[in-house]
Amino acid sequence: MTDPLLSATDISVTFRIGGRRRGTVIKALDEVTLAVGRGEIVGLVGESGSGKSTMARVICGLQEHHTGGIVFDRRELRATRTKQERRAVQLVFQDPYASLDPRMTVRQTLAEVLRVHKVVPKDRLAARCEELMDLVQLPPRLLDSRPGGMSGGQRQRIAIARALAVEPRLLVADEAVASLDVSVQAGIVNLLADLRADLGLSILFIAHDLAVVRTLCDRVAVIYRGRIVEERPCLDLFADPHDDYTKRLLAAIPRLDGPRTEGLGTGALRS
Amino acid sequence: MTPVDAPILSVEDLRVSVDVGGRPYPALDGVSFSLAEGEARGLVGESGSGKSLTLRAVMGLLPHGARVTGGRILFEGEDLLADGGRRQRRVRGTGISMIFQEPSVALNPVMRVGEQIYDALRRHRRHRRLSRREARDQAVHLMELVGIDQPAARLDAYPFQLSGGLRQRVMIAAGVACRPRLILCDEPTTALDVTVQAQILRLFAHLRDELGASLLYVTHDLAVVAQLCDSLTVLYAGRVMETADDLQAVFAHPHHPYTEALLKATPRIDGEVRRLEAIPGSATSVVDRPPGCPFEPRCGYATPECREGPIARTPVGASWEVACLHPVSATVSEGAS
Repeated sequence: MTDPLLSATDISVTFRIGGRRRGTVIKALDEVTLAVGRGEIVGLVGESGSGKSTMARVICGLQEHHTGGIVFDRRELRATRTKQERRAVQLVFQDPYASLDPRMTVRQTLAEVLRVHKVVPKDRLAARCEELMDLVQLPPRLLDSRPGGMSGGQRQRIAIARALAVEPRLLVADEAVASLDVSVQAGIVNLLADLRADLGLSILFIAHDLAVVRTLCDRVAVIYRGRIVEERPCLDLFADPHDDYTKRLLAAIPRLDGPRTEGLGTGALRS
Repeated sequence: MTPVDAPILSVEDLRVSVDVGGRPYPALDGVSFSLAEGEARGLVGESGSGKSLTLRAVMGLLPHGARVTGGRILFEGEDLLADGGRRQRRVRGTGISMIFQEPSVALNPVMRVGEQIYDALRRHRRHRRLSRREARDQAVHLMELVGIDQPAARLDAYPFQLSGGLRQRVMIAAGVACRPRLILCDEPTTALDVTVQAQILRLFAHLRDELGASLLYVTHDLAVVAQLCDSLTVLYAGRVMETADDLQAVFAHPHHPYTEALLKATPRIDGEVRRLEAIPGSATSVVDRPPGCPFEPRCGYATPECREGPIARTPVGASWEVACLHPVSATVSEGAS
């Protein structure tokens, strides 16, 4: 990619488990290099413990101790980011039941972000809130309700609206559809695709569900034990995986029209 | 596989009410299906559709505030609800066992996993007089059966020392300890990674094929059902929308608009990439379920008649029933290879 929006180079993060003397050091990320182009949706897939969420934290500037460099919009990001730099990258979390304040109405949630970042003048607050609701395809009348009465899909749309309130360039969606029913998940996936088409938003879509990634993303990076083992255009990777781990991952996915799983002999069951 | 024998489990017009804010609501409203020996039936639907509640009613483990208000649950021909739950208690564990979604919650964290398997063995009459040594041997055998490496060494591990996949295998080992004829599975692979899920599905297929156990498998993942099950029951807001003995036929030509909508919303791993079709609105709650078809507000085929009165299930094929006034038969599997 000639001029990516974000390029993270040789990112390493280590965690120490246990005491200082006897503890072991775990490499959560091991020289990971990842780029997201302008208006591109990149999938980062891997199983639990592979380092996906750590990568999300590094990109959002939430992981303090890491090595490697991050260039955003041709500017090197330093350890302490400016307000503008923080605005440019926003994170959407997995669980919309935990990521919204239950005591605040949707309007309060959105207006708080708009005020803190001085996105719009005061007299435009109400109008901007309605525009944001429109952007995430929710009726404006929900602005005065609290998350309590809302479905998971509605909540996740609110969480996305909150992230969009500061007009970010890059959205990092960390398992943002994982806890939703398939019928609702489809709506959120479509919404992300629409946001890219309408706003030119770049998205780093972190997920363990490869079928969703295949539907949404332009490019996929497969991460395994803190290393990117394969990174290619989405359809190529699914049609013809090169790396052994990618092959295993793809083979493990249940298919609607695949062959029925057969029981094997007792010995063959061993993992 | 066509079930020929008398069903091992037959759920007839099951009604369960759940208290919400002090008022009872019919959370299961006339759920019926049956399961032959060695058959695997998938029970699917969105959250709140009543799939887990159905399993819990069969197991006799309804949560506080929920109770059976009608219908019958026949296990091997005998009504489990008839004698105040005494028979249900007797078959629990030995005849029917249940595997839960979260092995980290269902296992006792301060008990070695071996002990938890001995417990399952000793709790039931057949093995009550087991010596410690015999229990240990059987536990090792069970752990081998579910594919745990170095079972003897793992007996003394605590659940936190095992990975999610191993913990789920321990759960299954305890669950099948007394050779149940029916295994109720409540989303047992939802919390697991996809490669581990594939191993656990193979294990269930093994129990189904080698031990001849019947499976009632609850999940929201249609692809998992396609891989493991023979037959399918689709629930929505506590009612059966579509039920059939031939799952493949339903996936090829779903007759209920809800089944069709679920299939169209499911992202696919092969074939042409197309935009997913979300189901508009959100799942109907049992609290404000309309008198007619519960799916009517979200359904593209609905007409005013759909709102009136309960919709009866009508046959659309051999052992295939649909509760819909306007059944569809579009080929949704087109585009998938």
